[in-house]
Formats: sequence, C-alpha cells, structure tokens
Amino acid sequence: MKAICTEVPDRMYGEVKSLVNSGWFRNEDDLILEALRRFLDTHKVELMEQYIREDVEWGLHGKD
Amino acid sequence: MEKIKGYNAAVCDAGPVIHLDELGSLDLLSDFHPLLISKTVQSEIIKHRPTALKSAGFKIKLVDLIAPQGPRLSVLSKALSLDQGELESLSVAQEMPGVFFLTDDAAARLAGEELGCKVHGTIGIILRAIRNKMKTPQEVVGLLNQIPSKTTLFLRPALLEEITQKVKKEYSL
Repeated sequence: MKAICTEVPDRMYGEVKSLVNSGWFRNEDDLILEALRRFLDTHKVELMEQYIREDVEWGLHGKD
Repeated sequence: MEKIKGYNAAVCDAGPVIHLDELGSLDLLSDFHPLLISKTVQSEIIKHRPTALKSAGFKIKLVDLIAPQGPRLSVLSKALSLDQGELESLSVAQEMPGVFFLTDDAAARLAGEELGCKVHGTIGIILRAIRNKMKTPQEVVGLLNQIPSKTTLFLRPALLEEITQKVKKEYSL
C-alpha cells in the first residue's frame, strides 16, 4: 500500500472537512479514496492506453 | 492452497482468454506454465465463450478461492471496485511472487502491480508471440487488424494503428 502526500488548496480542503464533519464520510482518507476510485472509474480508457503502450514494449522487447 | 511454481507461471483473468479465443489464438497462452484460472473466472469465460476452455488444447489449472485475501488486497479490491473474478485471481497471484497476472482490466492491473505481479494483457501476449516464435510478424499484424471486427477488446483505432505500424517498422514489413 502506498501513501500519497499532496497539497490541497485551502478552499477544497475546507469542503473536504465539511463533508467529513457533517458525517458523509468517516474521515478524510475515506473521502479521498472514494474520489480517487471515481476518477479511476471514469478514466479507465486513459489508464488502459498507458498500460497497452507498456504492453507493446514488453511484447516486442521484454525478456520473459 | 498448494504451492505452485513455474518459470512462466501465470494467473489469468477472463479478458485475455475471451479476446484471444475470439481471435482463434488461445494457443498463445500455452506458453505460460502453469496457467491458472479461478472458478469464478472460469464461469465468466464459459458465459461469454462457452467452448473456449474445452477447445484450448493445453492444460489450464482451476484453482479455488483463497480466503481471506489479506489486508492489502482487501483494501485494493474495495478501492478499485474489483469484481469477484479479479479478486479471486489476485488472491491466487499474491501467493506466487513474480507470477504473471494476465488481465485487460485497468483496475485489476493496477491492483496486480501493487501486489508485485508482472501484469500484461492481450496486446502484450499477441506481440510476445513474435519473439517466442509462436507467430510471424505478418501473422501478428493480421491478428491486430482483426481486433476491431472479431473481438470485444476495446482499443482506440488510432492507438491500434500506431501499434500495427510499430510492429511493421520493427520487422521491416
């Protein structure tokens, strides 16, 4: 499991805190994980394209 | 689960089996020893390609779900919304350091890499067939050309064309 450290604009962080404080999420981690999951859900094509390019390299030049 | 070792051991998700079968090239998976699939993945394959596994012509080992999956996979599966077949495949793969995990799903691939697997998909397997002398470069270009019409593998046309041109350039076709 990787930990990601990043800077969040104050206003955005305020919205995060507000959602957590009002009980929509257990904590900030849960909210960020959910946001990331949704991002990945909607960006699978781009991710897939990157993976396919890596696959092309492995397929043509890999050692195993 | 029994310990399974092999030089090219692979755990396979449904996608590559389905897509390679659609291309009539399921034999490209015969280069992985052993080739493992979970029972849920088997069911997914049978649902989409009823005869694929029966007509494979090489040995595919069915494995039972290992439960529990451990905290890393448990978190990853929830975060990435993995389906049961992917979860089962990864639970097997994480017990086998350095194993190939073959999938065409981006989220499953992400999880597989996180767990230390060598993750590849249908395109990589097809291109690998050239250097493994299982297909000629011309045959591989032919397979790539058939992907849009014969398979359910989604690939942006411009990207597929880019891959085809790369193979042609690489092998002076």
